[in-house]
Amino acid sequence: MQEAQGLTPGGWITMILSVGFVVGLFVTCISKVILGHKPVEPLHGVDNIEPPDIKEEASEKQG
Amino acid sequence: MGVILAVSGSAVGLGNFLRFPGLAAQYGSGAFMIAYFISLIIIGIPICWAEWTLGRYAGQQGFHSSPGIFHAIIRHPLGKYIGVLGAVIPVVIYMYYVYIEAWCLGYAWYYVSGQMNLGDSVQAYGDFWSRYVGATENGLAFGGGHNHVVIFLIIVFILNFIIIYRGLVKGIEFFCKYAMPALILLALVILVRVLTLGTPDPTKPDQSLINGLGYMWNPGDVGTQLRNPQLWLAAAGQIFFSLSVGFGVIVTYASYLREKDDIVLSGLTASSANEFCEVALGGMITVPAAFVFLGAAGVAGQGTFDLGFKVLPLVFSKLPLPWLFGGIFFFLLFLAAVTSSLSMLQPGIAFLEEAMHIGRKQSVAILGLLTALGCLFVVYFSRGLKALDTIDFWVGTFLIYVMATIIIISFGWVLGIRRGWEEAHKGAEMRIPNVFKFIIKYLSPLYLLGIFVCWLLFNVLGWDPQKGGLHPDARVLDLVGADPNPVARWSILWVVVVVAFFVLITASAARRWRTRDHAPAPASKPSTS
Repeated sequence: MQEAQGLTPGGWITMILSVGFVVGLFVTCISKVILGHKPVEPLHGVDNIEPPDIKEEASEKQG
Repeated sequence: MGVILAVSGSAVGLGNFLRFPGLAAQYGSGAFMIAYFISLIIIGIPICWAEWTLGRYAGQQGFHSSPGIFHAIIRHPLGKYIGVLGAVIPVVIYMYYVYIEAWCLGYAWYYVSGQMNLGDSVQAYGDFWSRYVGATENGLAFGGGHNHVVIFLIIVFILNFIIIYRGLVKGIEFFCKYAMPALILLALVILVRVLTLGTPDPTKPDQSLINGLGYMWNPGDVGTQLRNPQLWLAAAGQIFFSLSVGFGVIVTYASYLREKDDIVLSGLTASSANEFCEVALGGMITVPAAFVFLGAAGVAGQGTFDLGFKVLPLVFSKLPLPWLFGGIFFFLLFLAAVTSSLSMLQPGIAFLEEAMHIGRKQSVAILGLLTALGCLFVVYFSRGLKALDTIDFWVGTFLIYVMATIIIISFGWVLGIRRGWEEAHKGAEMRIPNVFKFIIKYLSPLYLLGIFVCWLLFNVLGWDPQKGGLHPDARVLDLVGADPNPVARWSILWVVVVVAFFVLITASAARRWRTRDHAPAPASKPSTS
C-alpha cells in the first residue's frame, strides 16, 4: 500500500500527460466530427469570368 | 454522429468510473498508464477500426447481424457459426448487466429520497448492498422487505426494451444523443466537487485531495512494476473491455453505415470519448474522493463492486448535500449502464430479424423472453453473486478474448490488409498511419494471443512462476473441481442452451443467405450518422 504523500513530480507528469492526451484526442476528434467535411472550393469556368468591359457594358444598359 | 454516440455509449460504462481507477491505483499509475496506452495503440484502436470496417463491408452486402457479417467475410460454411459468438456474447452479458444497472438506479433513488444515510462504517454499506442484491441467500432479491431491487430491475428492463423497440435511430441514437452529454455533464459536476474537497477533516491532514491525487497518480517504481505480467494483463484487459471491442456490438452498428461515412474518424472518436470518460473523469473522481475520506487503507484492494457500492456511498455520506451528489453519481452510473445495455440488445435484435426473417416486434418479444429468463436465473441465484460471476468470467471475459481475436484475424488475414485498408478508407478524410498495417496484421494478434495465454496461465489455471504448480481459479474448480458448484454448472448450461438456440436459428438461415450470395446486393439502410 502506498503511503500518503502529495503529488510527486512524477505524479504530476503522469497525470498531466494521461489526462492531457485523452482530452486532446477527444476534443480533436469531436471538433472534426462536428465541423464535418470542408466544402470543396468551386471551380471557376468561363461563365464566372466578368471582365471590366462586360461590366461597363452592363452598367451602361442599366443606366 | 448518431452511430458515434451509440458506440461511445456502448463503451462508456461502470468500468470507466469504478474499475479503471482501482486498477491504476493498485498497480502504480505511472507503469499502469504506460501499459494502458501501449495496449490502447496495439489492440484497442486497431480492433475498433477492424470492427467498424468489417461491419460496414458486410453491411454493404446486406448483412446486419454478426453471423451474417462473418458469413459475408469468411466465405466458409463455418463462418456464420463463428459469428454466432458476436450475437451470443452481448445478449448473455445483458442478462446480468441489467441487474447491475438496477442497482445503480436503486442507489440513485435511495440517495434522492434520503434513505442512504447508514452511518460511518463501510460495513453498514456492505451489509446494505448484500441484502439489496441478495448476496447472502438465493432468492433473497424476490423476498419482501429487501429494498425492492426487483422493482428497479423491472423498471430498467422495460425501459431498455421500450428504447430498443423504437429502433436504432428513434430509440438508441435518440437516447444516447441526450444521455451521453448528460453523463459527461454530471461527471463534470462531481469532478468539480471532488477537486474542491481540500482537507475536509483537519484532524486528519494526511487525508487531503492532493494526497488522494498522489495516491492515484504517483508512479512508484516504474521499472519493477513494468516487469510484472499481471500489470500488463490488467492494463490490456481494461482497454479491451472498456472499449467494448470483441462484443459484436460495433460490427452490428457499423453494418448500417454507408460507403461515404468516415469510419476511421468515427472509430477514433468513439474510442476517444471512452478514454476521456475513463482517464480524465473516472481517474480524477473515484479514488481521490475515496482517499480523502477513508485514507489509503479504505481504498486499497477494493474491487469494482466494493468501490462503487460500499466505499463510495460512505464517501458521499460525509459530503455536504449527500442526497444530491450521491444521487447524481449513481444516476450517472445508471445512464452509463443504460447506454451500454442498449447496445447489447441491438446485435440480438438484428440477428433474430435477419436469421428468422421476422419483424422488429417479434424479435423484440423473443429477445425479451430470452433475456428475462436469463435475468431471472441470475437474480434468483444471487448467493455470493455466483451466477453473475460465473457468466461474467466465461462469457464477459473468456469469450470476448476469443471474439476479438477472430475479428482482428478476419481483418488482417481473411479480408486481407490491402483490401481492409481500402474498405476502411472509403469516405474517410482521416488516414490511418501505415504503421498500423503491421500492427493489425502481426502485432495485435500476437499481443492478444500473449495476453490470452497469460490470462489462462495466471488467472484461470493459477500458475505460480516462483513455486511452480497450478492453483486453478475458483471458477474452474466450481465446474470441474472435486466439489463442483451446481449454480456455476447451471449457469454454463444456460449459456450453452442460448448458444445452441442461436446456432439452430443460424442453420435455418443458411440456405436463404446462400441464395442471397448469388443475388445482386440489396441497397443498404440509410446512414444513421
